[in-house]
Amino acid sequence: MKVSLKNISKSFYGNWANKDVNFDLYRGEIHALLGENGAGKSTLMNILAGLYHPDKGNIFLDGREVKFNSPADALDAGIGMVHQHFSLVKNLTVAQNVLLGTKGLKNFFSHRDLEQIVSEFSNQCKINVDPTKKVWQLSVGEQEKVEILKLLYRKTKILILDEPTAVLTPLEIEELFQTLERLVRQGDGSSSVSVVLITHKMKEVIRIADRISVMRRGEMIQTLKSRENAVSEGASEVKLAELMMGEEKEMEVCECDNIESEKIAEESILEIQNISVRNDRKLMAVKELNLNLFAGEILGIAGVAGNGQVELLEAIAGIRDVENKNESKIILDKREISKLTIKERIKIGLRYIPADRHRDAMVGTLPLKDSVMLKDYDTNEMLVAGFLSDEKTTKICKKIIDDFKVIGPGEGVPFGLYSGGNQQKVVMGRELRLNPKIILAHSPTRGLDLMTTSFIHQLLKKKRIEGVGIIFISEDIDELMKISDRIAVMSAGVIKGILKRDEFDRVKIGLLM
Amino acid sequence: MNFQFLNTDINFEKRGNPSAFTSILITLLAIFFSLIFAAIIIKVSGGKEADPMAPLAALSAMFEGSFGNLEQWRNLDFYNISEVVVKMIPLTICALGVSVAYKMSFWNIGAEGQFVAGALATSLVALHFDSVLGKIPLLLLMMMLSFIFGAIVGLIPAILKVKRGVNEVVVSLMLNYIVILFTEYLAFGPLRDPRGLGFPGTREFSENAFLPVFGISRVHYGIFLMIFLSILLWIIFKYSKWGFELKVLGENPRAGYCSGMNISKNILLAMIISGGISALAGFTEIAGLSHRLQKGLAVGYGYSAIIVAWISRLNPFKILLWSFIFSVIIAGGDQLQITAKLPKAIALVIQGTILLFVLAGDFFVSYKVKVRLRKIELKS
Repeated sequence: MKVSLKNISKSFYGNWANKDVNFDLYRGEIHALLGENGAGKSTLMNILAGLYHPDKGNIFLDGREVKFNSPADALDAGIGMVHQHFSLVKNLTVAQNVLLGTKGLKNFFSHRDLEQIVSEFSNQCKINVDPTKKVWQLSVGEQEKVEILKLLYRKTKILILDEPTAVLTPLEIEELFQTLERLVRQGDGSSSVSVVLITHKMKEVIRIADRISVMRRGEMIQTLKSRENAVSEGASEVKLAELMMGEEKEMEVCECDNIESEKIAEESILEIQNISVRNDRKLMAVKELNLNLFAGEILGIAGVAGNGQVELLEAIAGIRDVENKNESKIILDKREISKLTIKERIKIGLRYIPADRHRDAMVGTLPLKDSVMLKDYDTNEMLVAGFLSDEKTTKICKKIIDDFKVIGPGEGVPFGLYSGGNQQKVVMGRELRLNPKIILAHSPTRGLDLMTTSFIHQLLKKKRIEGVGIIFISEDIDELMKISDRIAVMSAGVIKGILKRDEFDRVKIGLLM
Repeated sequence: MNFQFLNTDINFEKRGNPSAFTSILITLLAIFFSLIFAAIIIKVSGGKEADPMAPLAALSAMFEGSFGNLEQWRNLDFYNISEVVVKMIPLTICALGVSVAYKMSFWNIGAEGQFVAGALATSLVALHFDSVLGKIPLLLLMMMLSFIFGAIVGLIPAILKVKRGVNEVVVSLMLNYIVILFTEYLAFGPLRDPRGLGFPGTREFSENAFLPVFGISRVHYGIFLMIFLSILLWIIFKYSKWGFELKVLGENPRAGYCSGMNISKNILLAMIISGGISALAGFTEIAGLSHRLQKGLAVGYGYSAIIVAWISRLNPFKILLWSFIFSVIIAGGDQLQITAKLPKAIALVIQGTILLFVLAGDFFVSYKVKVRLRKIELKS
């Protein structure tokens, strides 16, 4: 099946998300759609998947015009999309999720029937997931597989994956790519699957895509054959970066060498002694862990997701209880804080940037201003005579919007409708605005484009020079090696080892993980 | 040969910032359509009347009942409209009460019971102290105790929610029956007027315990309390730290918690205030209007208040406005019963349809409908 999108335009709140975009997808290819956050990639694919209606333009399947009024229409036509936030029912099993809403089931059936159907189908596709498991028990990588399986079961011929690698570990990414390649290559002619991969990571694009389309600010810049630019990997990455960012490229320059290890103060600003923390499933996630953070350093924590990183940070922030309060200590700037409330810890300069910003760090249904006020609404920064001052809060908002170049649909619009990168900028702006003593940042750059990522790195480095202690958790080892002064490797709830900057080594870190 | 087809596309598109004009227009349309709908209901329930204009006559009778007719206006007789205001006072205060809880998405359905609890407290104070205390201290004491009674009734679902995670809707709803029936028991039994010749209620209080009224109307000074509370809540919601906490916890409790807000404390506090305010409506109703505790006190203000709060988006000033509209319908309902010989419940039907139409109209406030005609030419 060949897909053509012709002259697609779509605007939101008067801003063009797509402007006269043309896009072709051939049968049996992996087509990467590359671009910064807010370039219009997801919008374009949401139009193809029937979620949005284009303001202008047409969709053609094999030369015939089609109109999708809903994702169900698109699915019927063989087009399915895996969204960045998965649409799985967490409390149901894999088999139930795959078969959910499909036709052709008997009125009464046993769970074993369902599992049988799904396990046969997954063997046939060579995508292995245990159909009896509940979705919440699966890793993110496995959930991605379930999403793909779900679409394949519905006879999808065109798979659209929106930023699939943002949340996957390197190993899972490798496996996903192998699956995709197999799906695309296996078929001959009519039965083969085509894949659209939405991403902003150039490395993986070069590795897997047959063709690459680059978008910038709602417009299609160029479509390249992968071989065309594969003179050498380095050269093509530069070319793609140029296409992606256009003239703004200079702003992106990241000075990664300005880290001087000897600048680390001798004194620790945060001392964690012997803490144990349980996760949501009541299992011990952090086990008698000890950690020191010096003033003016960025301490990277490497590790596969789900090894206690979230629980550790939440325990330091006071959001999660420490199991052994009497034998453990959390000392912030010479002060024992384990008995303090969340609010008291915020007030003495502990700032936490959670991984799940939608859930933990912002109020998506209210305007931007309310998210900016979230933690400091009870300080004199925002109050006049005990009442919230419109004037003061507006000023603070304006400053964050200006300083962080926040772009969005407007101040009266719910904050959740801003793009992910802009939401993260606002959260960062809020957390760094006052003078923090320590910053706990969990994957603050996940899913963000190069410019925003480097911007956030630079912000953190600036704070570090001011003497702030920063814990930086990421699953991306390259990012950690770029930004950290030391890297601690966390696995199964304990710190397996700590490396100084001159000892950084991918293999060493990988082995400790 | 060329065939031409017209192909209609209907799309819905989200509006960025719906303008005030659009939302007012759509609200007015919603009211208009719900009245038409009500006319149909009246027609259907009107029975044998052959007059095709009967529903319109009934509606106009309803409005005449609420606003009075020209004759009355010429004679400066505003009795009907004053009766609307009399109904508006308890309705507004109850709606303000529930809006506090709804602000943090705590679904308090118990305003009716809290209202009655306030009435009970007011009566208890009046029965014991109306010959002992002066007017002002007496009224203040009545007010305070009714607030406390309402707060206690409100606290029960809150505590169960905080401690045990019990659904507040069920608890607060069931409490209504307990409070109302218990109060009726008191009015019939222990508190019954021994000289009442079998009248189901307490004795009438001495005038010391009456809220003053305006002139010869029944509009009492509870109207000041109503206006004061509206302004107070508007300030709390918009400019206070606590109002901000309520708003955040209502929309995303986890984010509020991670930012150091105390969810349990806020649920308890919100329900103290919510229950207390609804109970103040009971105070004004007893002290301003009935001057005794009697059967049939709970006529549904606490339930209509839920609709009013919801339809007003918890905005205290909109609550004032919508309470007025709903009071017009309630007062008109009485008239309907008298002139058109229709059941009074028609008023409730109209209330319900207004809510449905306004909520449905909301869709058009936040979405634009785009209709697009396309010519498709088929060549053969």
